[in-house]
Amino acid sequence: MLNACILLKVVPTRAELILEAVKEIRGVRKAYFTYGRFDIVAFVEAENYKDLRAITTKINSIDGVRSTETLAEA
Amino acid sequence: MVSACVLIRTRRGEFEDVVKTVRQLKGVERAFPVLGRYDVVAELDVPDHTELGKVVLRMSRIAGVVFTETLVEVKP
Repeated sequence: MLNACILLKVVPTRAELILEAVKEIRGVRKAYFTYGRFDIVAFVEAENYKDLRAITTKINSIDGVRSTETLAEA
Repeated sequence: MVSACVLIRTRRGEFEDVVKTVRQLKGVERAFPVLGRYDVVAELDVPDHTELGKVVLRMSRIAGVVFTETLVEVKP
């Protein structure tokens, strides 16, 4: 399994919807709103890098997600 | 319970030792080395914010750790 931590910046008015959508994505173990430089953090457990890419693509395609920074397990 | 994500930068080549030490800290649910702008990510679950402060302080004192950034969960 491949761990990853995905940091999101989102449009505030859509934050609630985005967090719900992120939580429903297969592979997302945990996700919550955060204080600090990012709005949402999501912890992911992917099968492999290809699966991780599918998850990050899905997250990036959610309406209102401004940017994401993915920290994939080395 | 309060959750937090701690982003850690280590001195070059020392992330393996740092990960091992971080994993032993009470309150650390999971920790793993990463690629990207940071070297290690730690997932914390602690009873309250004061405990969170203690764990992050301990983390920042680990040999090889040069920078930490804590993203604290916003509790509804």
